Amino acid sequence: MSDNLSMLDSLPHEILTNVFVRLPIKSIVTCTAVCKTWKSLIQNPTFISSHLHHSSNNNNKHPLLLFRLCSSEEKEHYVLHFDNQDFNEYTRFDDFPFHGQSYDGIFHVVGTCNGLVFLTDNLYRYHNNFVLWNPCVRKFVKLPKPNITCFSHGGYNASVGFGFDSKTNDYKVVRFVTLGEKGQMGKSPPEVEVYSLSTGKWRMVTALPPIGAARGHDPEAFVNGALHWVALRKTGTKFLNFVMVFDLGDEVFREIALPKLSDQNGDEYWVRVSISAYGNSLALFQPGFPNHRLSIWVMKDYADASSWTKIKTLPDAFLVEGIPRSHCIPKCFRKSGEVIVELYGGYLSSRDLKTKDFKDLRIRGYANTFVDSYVESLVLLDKPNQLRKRQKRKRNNNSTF
Amino acid sequence: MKFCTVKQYFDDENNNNVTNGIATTVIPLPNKHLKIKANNKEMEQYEQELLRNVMPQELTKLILAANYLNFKEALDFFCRTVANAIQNKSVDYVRKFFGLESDFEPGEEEKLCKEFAWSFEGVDED
Repeated sequence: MSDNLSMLDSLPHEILTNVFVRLPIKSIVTCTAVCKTWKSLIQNPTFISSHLHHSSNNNNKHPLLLFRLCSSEEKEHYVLHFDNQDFNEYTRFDDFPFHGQSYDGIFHVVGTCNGLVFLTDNLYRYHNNFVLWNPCVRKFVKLPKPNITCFSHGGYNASVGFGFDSKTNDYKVVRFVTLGEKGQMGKSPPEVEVYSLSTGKWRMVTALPPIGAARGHDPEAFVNGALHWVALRKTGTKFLNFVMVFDLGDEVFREIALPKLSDQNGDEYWVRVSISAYGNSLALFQPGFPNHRLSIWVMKDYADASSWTKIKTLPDAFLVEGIPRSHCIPKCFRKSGEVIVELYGGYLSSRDLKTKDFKDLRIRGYANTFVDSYVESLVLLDKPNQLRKRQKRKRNNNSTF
Repeated sequence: MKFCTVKQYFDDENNNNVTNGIATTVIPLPNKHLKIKANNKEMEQYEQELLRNVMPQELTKLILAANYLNFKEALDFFCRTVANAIQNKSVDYVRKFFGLESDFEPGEEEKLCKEFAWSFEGVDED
């Protein structure tokens, strides 16, 4: 061994990593300015993966929930809460870089994965602006324009999903596009394209998708390395809903059948359901009609359609501040298995599906509230800093996002 | 504990006071750990004590010793201690703690400070 009066600067990288992963993210970022070695060690995919692993383990003990709340002035607020009994606020992300830059007033949050938040400016029109944002390190990546646009393909309905490919350590965005009227009727297969963060490009998916129409902006689920959408298909004279599955690693399609959802001679055209991740499997939300009783199904064994089990029907209304509120919109599941629902007026509450416990979370959004589990990470820290647009956006047709 | 590794360590090392210092600190650790494993408060106190009595340079040797001895709990413990010591501190403080100098080009460091300005705000006083 060398001279034992060596300083801490001679510590091997594995040990430095062991120290750094234990620091809060703010301090890790500070450490990039200490010296060149530290900067290249930290701003490195290997370290970022190690940190994510450590952060995920911590998260299992202290899970977090990310809330995106819109205020009445179309301002977006991103807040992290502890997903536990007390539900205290953990931190706020005040540095949302795109205030006032959305054509629709606010962005659509598609999902989160490993600390990244995926935003689209696609709520009501064909803008096709997509952003990957990590609020923990205040870095973002704007995606290039996709291949399928209304200029190239005519009218369409697109469903967008986002997830992590563990095989290639890459983040992928998938656009599942139902073309024209034939597509909407579930008579032709969709066009599917994939964006990869590591290449920075979109490309068309070569595997043949099953015939089915994506049901618009329904929430998708990213579970077991695959994206899941509810799709509609016409078989004979009847329409049937099913789950379209796209494996992010192999980039192939699968299907999972849904339980029987309609009594109207099996025709499900008007049946609108949504799915959500539920542990390592899926949950299905079926709004009641004409009442607003929400039915929740769970697939007890992932991919085994015969294991779909209806576990609960939530009542019409809950009391919030003494006033009955209805119109339960399910948002996501908590680590405990409770479901977070949005009631009429934007009031968020947490419902235990086993007991009858119902908890007012004392959080309220005005519209387009997003809730999902969240893990802090350093993903994108190794990417160059993208220039931010000026706060004011140009109100003319030539402005680009 | 891996006794053969320990023996090898002492055989390899130059016999000097520094090595003895490590031995007295690192070797008793497994017992200490077992005794205070369940009690976080005690761990914190022990950590504070360690920080007060041990200079950063000594900490390096402790870490390297624990690493060489493949003693994971001690290694994690020391790394945790170092992390707590530099948490929310300024860049200069961290440099002093590790005995490091900035080796950035003049413009480079400024660029970094600008890019990550938010992370340098609100740090503890040195």
